[in-house]
Amino acid sequence: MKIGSVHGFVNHVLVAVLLTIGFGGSVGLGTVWLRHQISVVADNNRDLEQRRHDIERRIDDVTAQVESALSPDTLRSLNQSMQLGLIELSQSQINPVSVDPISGLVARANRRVFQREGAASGMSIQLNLAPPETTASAAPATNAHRSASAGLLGGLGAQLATNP
Amino acid sequence: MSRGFASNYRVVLLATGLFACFAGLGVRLVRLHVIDRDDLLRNIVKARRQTVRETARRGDILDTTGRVRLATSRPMIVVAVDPMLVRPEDEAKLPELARLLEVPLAEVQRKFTTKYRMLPAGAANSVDGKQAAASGAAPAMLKLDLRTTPPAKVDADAATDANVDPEFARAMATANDTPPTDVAVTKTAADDDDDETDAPDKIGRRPIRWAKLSDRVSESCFAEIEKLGIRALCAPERRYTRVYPHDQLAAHLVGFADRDQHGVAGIESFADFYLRGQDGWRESEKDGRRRELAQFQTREIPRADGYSVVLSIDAMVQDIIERELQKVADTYQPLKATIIVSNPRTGFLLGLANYPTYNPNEFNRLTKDQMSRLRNVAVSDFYEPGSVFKIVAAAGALEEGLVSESSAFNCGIDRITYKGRELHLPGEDHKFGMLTVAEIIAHSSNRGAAQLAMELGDDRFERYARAFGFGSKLGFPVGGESPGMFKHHDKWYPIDITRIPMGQSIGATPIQMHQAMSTIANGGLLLRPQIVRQIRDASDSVVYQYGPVEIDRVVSTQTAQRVAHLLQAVASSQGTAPEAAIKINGVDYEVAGKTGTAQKYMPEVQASGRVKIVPSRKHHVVSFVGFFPASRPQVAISVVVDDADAHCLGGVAYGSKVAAPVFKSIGEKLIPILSITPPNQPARADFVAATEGGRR
Repeated sequence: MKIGSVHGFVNHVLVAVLLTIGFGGSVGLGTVWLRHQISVVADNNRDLEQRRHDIERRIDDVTAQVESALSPDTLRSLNQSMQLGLIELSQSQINPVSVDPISGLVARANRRVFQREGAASGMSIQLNLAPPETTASAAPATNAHRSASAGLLGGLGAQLATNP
Repeated sequence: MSRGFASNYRVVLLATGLFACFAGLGVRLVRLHVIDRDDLLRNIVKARRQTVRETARRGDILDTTGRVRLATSRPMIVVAVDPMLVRPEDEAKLPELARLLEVPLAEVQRKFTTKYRMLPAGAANSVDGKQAAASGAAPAMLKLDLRTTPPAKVDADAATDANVDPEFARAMATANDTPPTDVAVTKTAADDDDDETDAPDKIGRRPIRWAKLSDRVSESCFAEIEKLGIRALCAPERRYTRVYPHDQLAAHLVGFADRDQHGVAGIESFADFYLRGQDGWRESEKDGRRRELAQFQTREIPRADGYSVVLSIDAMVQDIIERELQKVADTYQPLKATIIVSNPRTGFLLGLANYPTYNPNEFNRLTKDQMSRLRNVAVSDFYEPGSVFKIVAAAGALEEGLVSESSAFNCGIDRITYKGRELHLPGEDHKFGMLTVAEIIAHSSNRGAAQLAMELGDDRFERYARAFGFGSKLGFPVGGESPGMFKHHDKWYPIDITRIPMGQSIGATPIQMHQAMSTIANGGLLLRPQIVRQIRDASDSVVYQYGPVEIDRVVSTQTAQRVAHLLQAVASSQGTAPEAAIKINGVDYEVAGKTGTAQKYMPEVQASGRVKIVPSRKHHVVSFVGFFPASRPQVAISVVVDDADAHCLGGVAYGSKVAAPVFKSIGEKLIPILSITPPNQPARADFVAATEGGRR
């Protein structure tokens, strides 16, 4: 191709124009695609944000409804209409426990274990342990069990006696 | 190279055409982007720009457990119609719409069919409050200005009783009867039910483009409305509405917020700064269908929801005292009544209730006559405390070492010389002789209390009374606290030294009397009464924690314990109020307290036809203020009932008969709830076992 000729020059210009159009079109399409993607992502973000707000609002709505349903007047009227017979708590219904209930429960469990094992082996187990500081004085019948279990919890030793 | 497909002429023509097209395009671009740029941009910005506002959620008001919401914000949707877009087929859907909106069908039909508004002459260019009033729309918002009005004038000739300070009697007779509030009803266009209109047409009418149907539509209900497919409905406007789920529970403490979410009364007003939050907004563009173009968001300020306020009020305690108050109201039909429960060790209130009360959800439905219900009488009204005030003279005299529990006074005399003047001593309900200080308190001897105050003298007695908190505000945050009425001793009448020790000639608010008794329970230390425990942010983190605030040390711990021991006798079988004693399963909970029965100052028509304000024998303010267990106080309770005489036996109300049983009933119910342990048992609130009776 002779660049110096008119035809050559025109052909070059045409090629350049076509290339420019092609390149520019590609860039333009790319830009449009990019902007479209940006708007899609932005719309998605907005929708997610909107959904989050909607959920928050629904939570607030339900919370307010639950709170109203739990109001004392509503509960009393439900108790009456459904004839549940629920009564107000009073001190006369409550027994204060002066000793540690955990040690009491442990003592009872240990007592059952020892009784079961003693019956199986023909041995009686007598525990003679010092009571822990937290244990208050109690009835003599239950004191031995409590002190035994508490002593076991404390890792103290035990005396075993074998019955003939 | 060949000559190709084109001749010289064609190639030149094609190239020229291309250049011409590009040149034309360039010229057009220059015109659009350079020459007409400003005009075009202005139009685009006007048409596409929008600012979206995000309403902040007002914070909750919680009880001391943090689980009970005394006030919360509920999301609501404003549903409106554009009458210009109504289609004929929409009319069939209106009955269902009216049912969902809970609005009369006739009103919905009117909103759908009224397409124009005729404007009054001279108001064509303004949509303001005047226009709203002219439209006859119902008041949309009440802005309440809670200011106490000055006492009304009373006949200057009144109160001529020689033993009564006329100025004091007039003030007592009028101060608490004044209207509690000046209700300034203001209305703004934004709050009104007005319609948004476009510019007026040629015949002076405006087309209505937005007519509100309801502003209290829930999300679930709106979903149902959307299913109807009514195109004329405008885009929903989402906002929050303040609701009080427990209705009147703690109404005088919580207060209420108006429709603009501004706190008007109570904690809503006091903590408005924390509660209200900060609205957010964002600038963006919208498309032809008015949808937001999220990619063109330029600026965004996120909303900041309001903080939550945690009160010291326990909802269970509050419920108990409000029910007790209702029982008192049903039984005695008093003018007003107040119950206060607090922890005397910290000064934090566990409950405060007044009768009459109101429902903050319906504050705007109160009539003018019912406005007095808004008043928190526990802090804004003062009364003569009566014998409860005797703790001041007793504590002062013991603290100064002037007397001991066994010191005896002659309470059988009716005159006494004080500072060279012979004074009349007040009367007694029973004949007494020599009484020790312990007996003066137990039997509530007026003459004994007067002599104890005389031992102290005017100056010291006044100093102790002021130290106990009388005559000044205690700093209670809500309710428009009154300082009461307590004159300087220089202005006392000579007889006042015999009357003030028994709780006459002094005006105290129920909260002042409660704190004075709590001072005895708290080892002589006067604390500020408080109800706000914490401020929490939206993520539930504690922003600010309130602690006990000491006001003054009034008496020593030893003196306070001695007075508490004396007050224990009041609730014994030898005292004036055995009805207040609490004994459960044989365990005595050591109630210490004091009864009060004070005559009210009432206008009375004399035989001469003149009206005198005199202490009435038929109208009393009765009270019982106390705490328990005396040796280790865990709760203080005040019960004040105003004018319960009409429904009492013999037509006279006494603190021991009306208030003391209420004290006992409340105390018994609080023991399991607050885990109050008996005096001789170590406090162990963690281990309890319910018996069969508790699970019916």
